[in-house]
Amino acid sequence: MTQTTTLTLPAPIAATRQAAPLPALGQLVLSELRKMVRNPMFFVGTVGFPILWFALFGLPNVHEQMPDGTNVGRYILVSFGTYSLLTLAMYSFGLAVAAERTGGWLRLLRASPMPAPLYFLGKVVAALCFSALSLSLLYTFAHFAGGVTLPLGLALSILGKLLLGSVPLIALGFMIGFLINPTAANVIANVVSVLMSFASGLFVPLSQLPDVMQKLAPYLPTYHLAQIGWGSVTGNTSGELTHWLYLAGYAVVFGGLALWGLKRDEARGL
Amino acid sequence: MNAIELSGVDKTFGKVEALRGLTLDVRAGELTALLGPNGAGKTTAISLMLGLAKPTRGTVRVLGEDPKHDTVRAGIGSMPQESAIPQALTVREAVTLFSRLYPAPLEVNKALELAQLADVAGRRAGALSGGQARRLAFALAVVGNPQVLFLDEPTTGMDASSRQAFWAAVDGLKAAGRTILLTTHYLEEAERTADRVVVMNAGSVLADGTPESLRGSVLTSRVRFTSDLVLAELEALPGVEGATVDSRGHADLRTRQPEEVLRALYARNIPFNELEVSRASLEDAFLTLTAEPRKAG
Repeated sequence: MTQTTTLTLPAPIAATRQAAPLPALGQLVLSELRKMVRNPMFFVGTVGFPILWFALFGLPNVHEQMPDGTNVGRYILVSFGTYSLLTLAMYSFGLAVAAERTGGWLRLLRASPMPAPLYFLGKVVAALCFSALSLSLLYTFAHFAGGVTLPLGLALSILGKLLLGSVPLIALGFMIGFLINPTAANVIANVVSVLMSFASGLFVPLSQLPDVMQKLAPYLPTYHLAQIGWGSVTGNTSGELTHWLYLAGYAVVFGGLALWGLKRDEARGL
Repeated sequence: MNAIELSGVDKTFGKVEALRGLTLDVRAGELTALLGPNGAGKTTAISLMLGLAKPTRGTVRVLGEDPKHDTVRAGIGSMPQESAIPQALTVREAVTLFSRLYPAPLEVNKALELAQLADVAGRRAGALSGGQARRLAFALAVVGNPQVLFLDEPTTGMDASSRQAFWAAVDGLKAAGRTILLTTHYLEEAERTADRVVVMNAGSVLADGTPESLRGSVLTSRVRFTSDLVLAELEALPGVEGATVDSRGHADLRTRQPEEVLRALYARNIPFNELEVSRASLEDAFLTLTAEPRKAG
């Protein structure tokens, strides 16, 4: 096959215009979702495991009542929902960003006319879409397998709160991705998701954890996120504002460190 | 008119000086080959032109503006040495994504055709051969229909037919008036395609000219033959600037006047055979230039 067609290209435009941001963002989000959906291990880790843990640890207890009368199933649903968001943030951001920034993909995007914030925004929007899907599947499983059903209004409000509250986790993922090389990021992402889940009482209720962990818990973002969800389930939302302030603080700190990492890469000429 | 202008650019990473007083103009509509040994600063220079990094001193202008601005980059396409395109995306999806990042892109099919990827448009990036992956990187560079193209080691990993198709596409872009800056380790490619060659070493420009003028600057030709002459006799021939000979009598001479050497051989009735006379190639010029210690100033 020889190329005999003469090349007719439209004249390049004067370099003062920019691509419309929304279609660009749409394509970035779509690309991120495709990467997530087409990676079987990612699907298993972020959707499969939370459902599996719920089946193993939640289902045997779903009909029990807590001292205040709350259904245990609902409580556990929030726990594994939070766990799912943490896993997604660690893998989608920690691992993927570390690989993209060292492999040259991020460099290629930065050399394109794409404004840098669009890269982050695309990833965040895609992660929130996927989180919503993951939580909905968990809700559905809990409903059909365990008879645990949240009233629609409550289900939506918890979904919204958990998604909003997962922003600091996403920022933590970015931070790991920008500060740590891909091999180490894999280990760190695993360690962080397991340790934080345990120490925040997502797997085992806080009251049954060792003293050290109980003292450590209030310093973890996942603890505050889970508290917001648990509070909504039990109807005890009096301390919610404090938890939101903690989460906002974490988002600023992690996000700031991630940006610092990005600038550091730029200064190194990566 | 210059598409790219670097003037007095220094770039240091910690204590390492990657660029020292680099001044370089790339004229619009030309294919300029940037050559230099590893570590000469080519990739650093390209990073600055792409707006990925700031110069420590000096100024960088692309299309008359600072390439740190997103608007300038709408006129720039880049094919880096490594671009690890996400393996889960298909060829068409990756090209479509890039087309949306530019204000007036080519049609995706057009870019695929240009990079000879139409047959594998539905294949995942992770399943491409090395040469196909390089062509995908090329498609991402051209889909935005940029005025200025940066091709960093574009043909590394391409097989012979990929290479041929690739250079045909580059010729088309050149004919369409695009400015192309190329780095390559294959000097014969630069010799064949470049309007102009810039040789860098140790962070600054060592030589700058057409491939012909660079070859000419070295001036020497090589004369090779087999005879009974020993080294001292070879060196004593008129016009010989350097000579080597092996135990079987294969002589290799460097001279500016090959005709004088041959005339002397005939005049003295010296028997010889396997005669070969060649002009300095760009590669000879490159090796000579980069081997010399850097001149002061």
